[in-house]
Amino acid sequence: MSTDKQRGIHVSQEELLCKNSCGYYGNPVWQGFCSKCWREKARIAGASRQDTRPSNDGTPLTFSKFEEKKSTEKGRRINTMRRLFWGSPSPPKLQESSESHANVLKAYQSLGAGDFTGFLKILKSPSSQRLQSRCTAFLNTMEAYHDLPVQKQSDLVQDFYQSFAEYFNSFPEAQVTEIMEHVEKLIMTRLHKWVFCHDSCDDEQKDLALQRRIRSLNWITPQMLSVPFPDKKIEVTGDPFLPAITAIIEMDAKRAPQDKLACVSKCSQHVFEALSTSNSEPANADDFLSGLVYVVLKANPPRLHSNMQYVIRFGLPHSLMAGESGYYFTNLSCAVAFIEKLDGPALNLSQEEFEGYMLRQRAPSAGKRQQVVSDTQHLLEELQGRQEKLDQGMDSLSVQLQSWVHAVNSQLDEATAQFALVQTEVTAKTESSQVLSSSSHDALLQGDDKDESVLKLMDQHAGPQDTDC
Amino acid sequence: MAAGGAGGKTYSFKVVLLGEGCVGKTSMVLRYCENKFNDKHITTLQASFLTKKLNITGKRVNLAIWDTAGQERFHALGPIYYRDSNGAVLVYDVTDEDSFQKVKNWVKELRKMLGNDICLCIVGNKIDLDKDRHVSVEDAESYAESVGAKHYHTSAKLNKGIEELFLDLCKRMMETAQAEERLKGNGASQSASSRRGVQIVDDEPQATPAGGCCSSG
Repeated sequence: MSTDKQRGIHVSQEELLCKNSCGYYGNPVWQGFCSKCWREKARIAGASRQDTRPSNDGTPLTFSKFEEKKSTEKGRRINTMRRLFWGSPSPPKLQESSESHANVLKAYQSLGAGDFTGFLKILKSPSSQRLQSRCTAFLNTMEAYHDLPVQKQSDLVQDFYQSFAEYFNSFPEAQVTEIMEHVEKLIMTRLHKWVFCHDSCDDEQKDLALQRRIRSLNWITPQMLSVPFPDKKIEVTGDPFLPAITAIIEMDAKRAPQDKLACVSKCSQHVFEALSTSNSEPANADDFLSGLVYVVLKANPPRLHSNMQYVIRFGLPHSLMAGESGYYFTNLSCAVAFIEKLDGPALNLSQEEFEGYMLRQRAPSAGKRQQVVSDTQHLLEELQGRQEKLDQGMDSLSVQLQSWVHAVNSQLDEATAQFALVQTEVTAKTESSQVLSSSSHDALLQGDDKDESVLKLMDQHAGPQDTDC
Repeated sequence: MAAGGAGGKTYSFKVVLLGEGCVGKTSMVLRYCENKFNDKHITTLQASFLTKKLNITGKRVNLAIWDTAGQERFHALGPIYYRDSNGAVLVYDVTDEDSFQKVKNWVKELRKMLGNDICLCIVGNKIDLDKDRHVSVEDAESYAESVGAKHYHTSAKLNKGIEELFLDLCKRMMETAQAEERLKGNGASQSASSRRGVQIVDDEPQATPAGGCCSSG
């Protein structure tokens, strides 16, 4: 069977062989060991840890099963892997060491809200080694199988969340949510590079299509979308939606789905703030959605489709289904759907007008353009002013630096002059003492004494000088 | 659906608020969640997502009220909003015949997409303007009965009927959730499929509910 495999995949012999160099073939699922060596390794690890695997006679069964399925298609392989790595929620696990289990739980319970570092510390501590090794094993599996279809990967991750959450089923719901958010952050920060905008789906094309679509709609004004927009204030404050635009662009830079969601929430909050400047009443969903559509059109966020799909696939289901962030994310989905299906009537334009704008035959009215030009000019002037200020600051700083260097140099000169003076004094003194001293002393000893006294004197003089500088 | 929680745990319900532009949806939720009407001291910037914690017969309930964009140009986005919701409050203005017609359209759509799992409330708002009433009580109530919804009369201005409406809705949603739990048995095996409900295909809003929703039937 193993020779077959080699012929099919064309990998070098060494890569396929067991890491224990026993001559058999290894498998990435077993961290590169062959089944026998891996079993041996797992047994040793299990014995030292006691709580890793239910019992030793249980394992061979699973492994023989595994070997049977090795040749079958990928999907089935995953099922076996699943059983292997995060095991079935079997009763022995719960019985094994309820005391240490309770201790671990207590540590997690004392965790403060949003304390990710604290969570990592607890996870690293020896008492929760079991959980930690589960995370590591899962990450290794995911990395080894990073070329699976993205939907499969999503299923694996979601299953992992579910089985991980079961560990804490004695906790109140809010706390489980908190812990699971940490787990999500930990897992997805690592997996981001493997699963984001995966090759197996057409996310990249869709990103580009959406980007092009938004670019082609760049002529849309807030008035067309009937976004409540402060007309008069525009010269003073600039675009009130700018913070929201920045927030939605930031989404692409984050790695964990919850951080991406947080960007969507932040953007939404900014939209509400912007709306409140032109509207005294609390914003309703119509205002909000129009505002969000406007923000998405202006921002043209990088890889928006990929980012949203990533959150849907790998985010915690709880944060997407319920809660404020779920609401904001739903609205973002609505905004994107609206932009994709956008036509004339939706903007209170006739179909011909809409076509005209799309083909660039029409452009915003002259007044509008002039306003944009003057706005831009204004911005440029402001920028120039700031640049000049910066230049001035740099000049004055370099002058300051030069004078400082001068001061230091002169102080140094002074110090060396003083030192030379002291040195001549000292030599004069020693010479006179040499004359005075009796010749009975050993010449060698005398030499040492002299050196010592010179050193002492030098130290005495060096002391005050240091403080001068 | 899955948000219903199990056993003695907290129930979390998602309720969507549907209705035309000026029927008073915003005033209604603000009256319910902040007990304020046209007030300068309303603390929230927004009235589109509000939550309320309730305690009904010793059970804790977290109610999330989602306002939906009701303008005609946003009509196609409906399914994205009401996916996975436990209840829907459909508001019309008793002085506006058109708004009642809109409610009828919404009901049809909701029943088609979500089946009977969703608790529907049809609400005639602005009963303080009864003298201008254009939708008759009998019509509205018989229609509600014919589609398996409950009918309520409210006035956000006078704070009438709103508390009762939401309390009643919560009780009904709890019943639905409990019935579902019993049906499921332990419910553990079902959780995987409930997750499927989140797989939003955002670019094809009309195609998703047809294939994707697990609640129909």
